[in-house]
Amino acid sequence: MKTYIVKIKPLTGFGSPIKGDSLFGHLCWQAVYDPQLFGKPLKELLKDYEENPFIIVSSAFPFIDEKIYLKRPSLPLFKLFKLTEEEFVQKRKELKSKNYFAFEIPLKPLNEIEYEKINFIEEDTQTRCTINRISGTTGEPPFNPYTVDRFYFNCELAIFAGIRQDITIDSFEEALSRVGKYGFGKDATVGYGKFEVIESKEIQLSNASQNFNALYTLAPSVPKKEEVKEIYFSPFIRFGRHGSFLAKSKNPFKNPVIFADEAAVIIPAQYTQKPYIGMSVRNLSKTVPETVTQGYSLVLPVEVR
Amino acid sequence: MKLKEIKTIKGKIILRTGLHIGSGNMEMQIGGTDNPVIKHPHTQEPYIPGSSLKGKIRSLLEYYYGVVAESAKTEDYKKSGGLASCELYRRANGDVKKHIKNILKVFGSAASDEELLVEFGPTRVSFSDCSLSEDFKKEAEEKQWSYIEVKSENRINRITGTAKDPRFIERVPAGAKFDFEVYFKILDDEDEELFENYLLTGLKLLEMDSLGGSGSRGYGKIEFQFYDKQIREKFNSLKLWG
Repeated sequence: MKTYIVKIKPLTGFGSPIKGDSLFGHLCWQAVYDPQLFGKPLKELLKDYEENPFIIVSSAFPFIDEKIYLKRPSLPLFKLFKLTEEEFVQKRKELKSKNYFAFEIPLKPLNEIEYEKINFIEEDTQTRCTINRISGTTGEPPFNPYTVDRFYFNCELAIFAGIRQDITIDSFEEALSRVGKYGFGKDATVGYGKFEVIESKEIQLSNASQNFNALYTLAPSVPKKEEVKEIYFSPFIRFGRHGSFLAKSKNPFKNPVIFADEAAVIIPAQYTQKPYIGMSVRNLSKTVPETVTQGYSLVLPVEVR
Repeated sequence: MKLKEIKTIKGKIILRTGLHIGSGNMEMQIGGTDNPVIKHPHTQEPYIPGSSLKGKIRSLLEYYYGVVAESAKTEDYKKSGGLASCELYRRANGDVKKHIKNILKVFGSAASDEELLVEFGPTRVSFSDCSLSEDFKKEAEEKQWSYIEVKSENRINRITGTAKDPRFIERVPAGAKFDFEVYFKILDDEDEELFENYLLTGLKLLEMDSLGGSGSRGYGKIEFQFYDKQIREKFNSLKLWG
């Protein structure tokens, strides 16, 4: 599996955050619409998804001043900052607000990295209404105005992508740019979630740290028990929903999945050459029993002291 | 169902008269107007939401193809509001049934049964929010134009001849230019016809009607300028009546 960094430029507001599992779902829909996009139809691609995933995508991370910023690892603060107990008590809130760090190769040990407070999202609401075609007015239910949340990224974004040898980076870029044209996530058809692909660059994630003893995840993941000796993570519950025309089916909801959110730190049971951890998640949907969710995540080797 | 093509229409929206798309005032600002227009939260520049374009175009097509008239035949027309829906599709007959189906294909529908899901497929059209174009912003900067005007309005009491109900409404002034982009999925041969007869026709209807609030008072008259010569010619030669 080759790994890449793909830069994208948001063009509009977004209704949903770009997380690895939902971006994977969007890419799968592109394979449904165009079975030759990745050279094989989706059914073929998913045949050996348990052993050999064809694509693994990360969540989107801010790209500011030529640097990619990753989320602060989900470790206790004393493993990230070299401070006395008294200083921890005094500066706890300040430390907790330092939520990102610049991704550089080689990565310093996690407690020597400088964490920064970064806000790259602006939240906003939009008021909408439907006009009753017969009276020409709004105001009476179900035509009364309502507000919709959305947010804007104020920077470009970077996505890490792992691509199996038989899939070309060009086809991945094409699929991603189709998602960007049509729109990602909620309310895509009314103008949300548009982005354009700027460039992609191959990267060796395994070179990130020389003396690594842990793995840092780049997407929400469901690690296999046998992969994990210890894990530090923030739980993320995905109440998933089918996309495209299945969003309108009688039961568009998938079973909820508890993920370890991106920025989890895993002390692996044994080290492998694989650039990813996790597994595929199935048994999610009554409407489409063969539904699969990405429980995989690309990983960065890191040093925890 | 195979994605044959994603058709793109790119161009500009030029305001012929002031445009008011309200932002639903969330806060009271000292010295602010009662009725602000919608603005981008970072830049505070006005923009045209894709939802306004999509909703208005869909409603005009529903009038044009007789969907509203079909809906008014039913008892719950007040509740349904004349919108094309799966229920209306099941009840309708003749030509209008085809139009309802096509509108639902292009613009999407609410929940429906499995049978109709497969028949309609995913929403074909995807609008974008339209931001002010770079060349207009440059021109406005040079000439020191404001992106916003505040228009005062009132009502004249016919008996006393005096003004009542003064109000101040924000508008984007005439002459402003916005970048416009819309994508259309072609999933089968029939969709080619949908692109022309629904999306382009809808854009033409919008040019004849208005966008945003107070359209009947002259607000929101717009003009489309398309970059693609073929689309421009098609659009200009569209005859909606006669």
